[in-house]
Amino acid sequence: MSKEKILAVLLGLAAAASTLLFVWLFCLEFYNYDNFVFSTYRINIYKFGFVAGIFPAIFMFYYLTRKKSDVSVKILAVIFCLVSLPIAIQAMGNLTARTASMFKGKDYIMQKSMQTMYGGDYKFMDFIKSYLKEGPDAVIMLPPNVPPWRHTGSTQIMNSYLYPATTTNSTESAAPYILISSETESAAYHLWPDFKVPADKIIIFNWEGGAPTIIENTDWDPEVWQDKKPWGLIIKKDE
Amino acid sequence: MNNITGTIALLSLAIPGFFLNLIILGEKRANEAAAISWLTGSIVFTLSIYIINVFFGIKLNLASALSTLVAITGTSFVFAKRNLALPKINFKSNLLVKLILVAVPLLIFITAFFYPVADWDAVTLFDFRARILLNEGFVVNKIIEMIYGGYPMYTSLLHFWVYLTGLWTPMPIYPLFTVSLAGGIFFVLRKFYSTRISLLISLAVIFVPRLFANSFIPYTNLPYTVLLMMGVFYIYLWTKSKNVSDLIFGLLLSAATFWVRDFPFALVNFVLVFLAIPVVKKYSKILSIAATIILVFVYFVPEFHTIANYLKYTVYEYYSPYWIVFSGVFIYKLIKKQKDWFWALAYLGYGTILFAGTYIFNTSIPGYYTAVFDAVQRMTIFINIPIILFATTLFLNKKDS
Repeated sequence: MSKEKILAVLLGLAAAASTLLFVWLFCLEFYNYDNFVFSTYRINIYKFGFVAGIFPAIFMFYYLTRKKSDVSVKILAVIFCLVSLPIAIQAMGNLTARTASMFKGKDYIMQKSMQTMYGGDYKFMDFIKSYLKEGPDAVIMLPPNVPPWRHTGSTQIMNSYLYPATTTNSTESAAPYILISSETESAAYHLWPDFKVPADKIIIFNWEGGAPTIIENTDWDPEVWQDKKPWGLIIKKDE
Repeated sequence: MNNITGTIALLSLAIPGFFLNLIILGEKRANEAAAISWLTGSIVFTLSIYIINVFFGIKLNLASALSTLVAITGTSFVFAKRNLALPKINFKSNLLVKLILVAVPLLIFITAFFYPVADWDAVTLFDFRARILLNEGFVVNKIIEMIYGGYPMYTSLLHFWVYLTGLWTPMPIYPLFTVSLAGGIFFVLRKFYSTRISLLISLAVIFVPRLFANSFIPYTNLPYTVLLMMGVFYIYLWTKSKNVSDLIFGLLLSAATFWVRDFPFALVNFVLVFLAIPVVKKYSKILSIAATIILVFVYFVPEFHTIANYLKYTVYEYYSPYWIVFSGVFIYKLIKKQKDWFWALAYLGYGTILFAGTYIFNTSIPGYYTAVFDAVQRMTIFINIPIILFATTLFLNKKDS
C-alpha cells in the first residue's frame, strides 16, 4: 500500500472515530441530563464540539486535493465539515438518545420531561388539580408572584397547568381555594398563606407519595404550621 | 378519535397545500409543490379557521374545522386540476443519501409522538391557547389578553387541530417544518446544482446552529425561519429565472411570516425583489460593501454602541464561525469580481432589521433586551442560512456567480 493510501485510510479512520465519539457523548448528554458529560467526564462537548469536524475536514481537503478540484469547492467542503458537521453530530446524538428513550415508553419520557420543566413541583400540581371541582368556578388564591414562590406564585404557570380552574395572586379575592406553599426558590422560607383562614378542609400534600393528610373543620393558622413546612390546599368555609 | 386519526389529520394538511402550490408553480414543478405542501397547507388551513371563527362567528369544533379543510381541499383541487401532476423521485442515483434523508426525518417525526409539550412559552401561551380554544370554541378575550400575546394564532391553531382530531401531543407538528425546509431548499437548488451538491447544501442549511434542535421545541422560531427562508429563496429564484410564479410564491411565503410572528424581517425579502432590476443588480456589489461599512460604523457610534455590542456577543459571536465564513466568502467574491450578491444583501438586511428592532425595543423597555438573550438567539436561527447560500454561489458558473 502506498504512503498516500495509508495516510488516506488513517485520516478516514480518525474522522470516523472522532465522529462516533462525539455522537456517543452527545447521546449521553441528551439521554441523561444537561451538563451530564461535563459533570461526569470533565469534557465540555459544546466547547470542543468543533474537534469532531477537524478530522473529516482534513480528510475532505486531502481527498479533494487529490482530485484536483476547484479551490472554491475545497474551501466550501472544509467549511462544511468544520461548521456544520459538529452540529450534525450533536443532532445525531440527540436523535439517538430520543430513539433510545422511545423504547422506555411514553410514561418514562413524560415523567422526565415534566421533571425537567417543573422540577418535582408537577407532582404537587397534579395533587392540587385532583382536589379542584371541575369548571372555571374553581378559583385558587396563590402566593404573591415573587421569590420564594417562583412556581407556585406564577399565575401563568398555574393557570395553564390547572386549567379550566383559574388562579389569582390577590388576597382580596373571594377564591374558594387557597394554595399552601413552602416553596423556597431563590429566597428564604416564608410559609404561605401567612394569615389566618377559616377553613372547611386543610389538605396537606405528602411528598413521600403516600396519602395526603386531611384536616376538617379546623381553621388555618400559619403559626401552627410554621415549622412543618407544609404544601397543600385550603378549602375555605362558605361565607 | 385517537393518535392515528390525529396523525392523519395533521398530515392531511399537505393535500390542499399541494394543490395550492401546483396552482402557483405549475405541473412541471410537482416535486417542489410536494416538498412544501404541508407548510402552505397548514398556513391556509389555520388562517381559514381563524377567519370563520373571528369574522363569521362560527364555533370551532370538529365539524366546522373538518368542513373548512374539505372546502379548501375541494376548491384548490378544482383550480389545480389543469396542473395536476404527481411528484417524481429518482431513486437510482445517490440512493444511500436519499434513504438517509427519508429515514432521519421519519425518525424525528416518530420520536416526537412520545414527547409532551414541556417548554415555558408553549405551556403558558401557544399550547394553552389551543386548550382554551378546544374548551370554548372561540378566540375569546382570555386568549387575546394573554401575556406576551403579540403572537398570531398560527401554531396554537395547529395544536388545536391535532388535539381536536385525537393526537395526545402536538410535538409531531414541529419536525414537519424541518422536513419542509430541507425538501423545499433541495428541490429549488436542483435547478442550479447537481443532486449531490444540492443534498449537501440542504444538509448544511438544516445544521445551522439551533435549527435542528428546534424540531423538538414547540415555539414559533422554527416555523418563522422556514417561511422566511423559503420566501427569500423563491424571490432569489425569481431574480434568476424571471418566472412570475416564483415571485408570487416568494412574496406569499414571506407575507405568511406575519401570521407566525409580528416581526418585520420579511421586509428584507420584499426589498430584495428589486435586485431583479438590472440597474439595481449592477450596483448590488457596491450596495453590499456600503451596507457592511455602515453596519461596522454603527458599532463605533456611542449612541448605538451598547445595542450593537449586545448583538455582537449575543448573536454574531454566539454563532461563530458563521460571520467569519461570511467575511471570507465576501472577500473571495470581491477578489474574483463575482456578480451574485443577493445573499450578502439578505444577511446584511436581516442584520439591519435586527439592530433597528433591538434599538427600538430598548427605547420602549430600557434594558429589558439584555434579559432575553436566549430568546434573541432562538429568534435569529435563520440568520446563518443566507451565509450558507452566499457561500454556495461560489459553485455557480462564472456567468451567474
